Amino acid sequence: MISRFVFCFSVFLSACFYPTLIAAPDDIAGVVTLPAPGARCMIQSDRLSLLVIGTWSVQGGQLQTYALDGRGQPSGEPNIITLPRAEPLSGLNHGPVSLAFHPTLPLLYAWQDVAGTDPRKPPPADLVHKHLDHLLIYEVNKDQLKLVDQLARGPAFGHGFDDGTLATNATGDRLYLPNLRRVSEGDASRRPAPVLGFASLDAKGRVVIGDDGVRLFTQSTRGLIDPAQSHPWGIIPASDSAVIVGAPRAVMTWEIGQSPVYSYMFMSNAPGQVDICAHPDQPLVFATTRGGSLAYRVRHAHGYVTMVPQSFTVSSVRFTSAPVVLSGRQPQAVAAGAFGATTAGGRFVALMPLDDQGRYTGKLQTLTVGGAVRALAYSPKFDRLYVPVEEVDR
Amino acid sequence: MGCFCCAAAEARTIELDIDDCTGAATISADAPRLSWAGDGSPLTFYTTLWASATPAQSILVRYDLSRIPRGVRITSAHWIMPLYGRQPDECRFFIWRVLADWGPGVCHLYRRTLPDSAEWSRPGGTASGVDRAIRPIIVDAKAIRDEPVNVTRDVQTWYHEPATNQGWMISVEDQGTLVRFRSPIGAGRDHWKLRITYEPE
Repeated sequence: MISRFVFCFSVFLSACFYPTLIAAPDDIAGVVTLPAPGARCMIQSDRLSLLVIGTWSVQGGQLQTYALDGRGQPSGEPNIITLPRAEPLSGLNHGPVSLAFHPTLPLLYAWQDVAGTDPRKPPPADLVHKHLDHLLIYEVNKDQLKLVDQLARGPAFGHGFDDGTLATNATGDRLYLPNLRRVSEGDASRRPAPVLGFASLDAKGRVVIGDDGVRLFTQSTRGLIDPAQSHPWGIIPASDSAVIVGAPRAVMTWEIGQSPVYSYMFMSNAPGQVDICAHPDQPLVFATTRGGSLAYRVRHAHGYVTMVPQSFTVSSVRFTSAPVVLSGRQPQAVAAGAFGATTAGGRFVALMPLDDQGRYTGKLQTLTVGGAVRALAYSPKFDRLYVPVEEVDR
Repeated sequence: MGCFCCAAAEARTIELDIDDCTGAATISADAPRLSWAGDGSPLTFYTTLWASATPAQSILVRYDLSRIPRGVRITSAHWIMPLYGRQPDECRFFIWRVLADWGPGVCHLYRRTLPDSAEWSRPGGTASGVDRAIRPIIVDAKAIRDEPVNVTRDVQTWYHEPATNQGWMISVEDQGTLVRFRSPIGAGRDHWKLRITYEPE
């Protein structure tokens, strides 16, 4: 695969300064672009030598799996797995919202959803509650996936979203689920309130089932999340008692207890979602504003956001994906999909280098790709940044 | 970003702001593990929208003074504090020099939890002479405006003994008092200034 690169150096600082673009055509090492029209999510595992891209389509959502060779390069053509979709849901836009690997077992978790063609009008609730299992569990064998379970059906699971985050904790006994809802008994007129929560996993990585279906632990979000919004936008289960989530305008600590307590660190005066990712080795969270130009570095201590965040505006950039940390290279960097008015082609991956303390250095590199970038994945072992694109120049 | 201007012959003034801070927090007995237990709904959610001091809640701020050149004499230091509201109208707040080192994970229970956990001598950092200084600066919150407070002696001490610089704690000690500031990491981040004037020794 040959991709066309435009390599720009920009200097960005606070709002007092304006970026200076210095165009220097070059290749950025370690970037792998992959054709994946409709890509919404992606995940990579060095342990399993596997890359998985989730794509949406009215014809049906799919997972593309690539086995990775000894250099982290996709070997051969992808294996295509069509997500299960009941006949009554045909004609709806359909696909995976988020993907997660079990930390030790060869299992892939996928959260799927359906959406109408008009994003303001979700599909009828009765139809979805009756026919859609949101959670799919696959056994992984190289690039082959075998569906071993599908569950999470009903009003407790919000629908009509193409965003939200699925995540396991480090010990593999919790699976945090996106877009959960709490339905008030006996009052169907009330809109289901968004809640944060997780399902318990057994020793085989399977969801624990109770008398009423998936056994969920949920806690109210206290009105911090709008029922019309997907949530959360990144989950960092730093401990079993404190989890960091990306929230509207904020990076938030969710203190899990008898009664939840939230520490809501406002990131932006502008509305919109804040996407987060964790540094793999340091207690740091990196955040970007979706559709905005703000980037943040937030320290945490065992899941509690703390101290003064580093923040800045990346002028002429609008972020389109959650960030990822390129921890296997020097200097380390944070990458996110973006679009802007000053880069040829308009759609690119923004790379923001870090210093040895994990602070942004104020430089910006941009990599032009074909089409909007909604997801990224990274291999720290091979220092490979995987970018799904609508089309790839050959 | 600091501003650099000449106030008098050979005297110079710099302004430190929140980007010069090595730490800030609002800690609360109501949410004893949160570093940012600011305004919100008590016992449920706390935001960084404001920074308030109440009998259960205090604010911590620490500036890095390394931008001040060596070999100078600090002649004045004023902390511009973006006071936003108070209750009752006639009330006061206290500024304490913090004595115990604090860092990531600072909260009501701990002065830090990284790289290792260390508790305050008394929860909330209120142990006199151990967590915080014995005598505070007492400020009358008379008007809602950016209130400059004379902190010259504290800054002089930290300039000469950098290892003792653990910043300040803002608290209220009178029941029923609330003093609210613009948040140091939100919309108010441009308002927290430490203005220091120095001259060659």
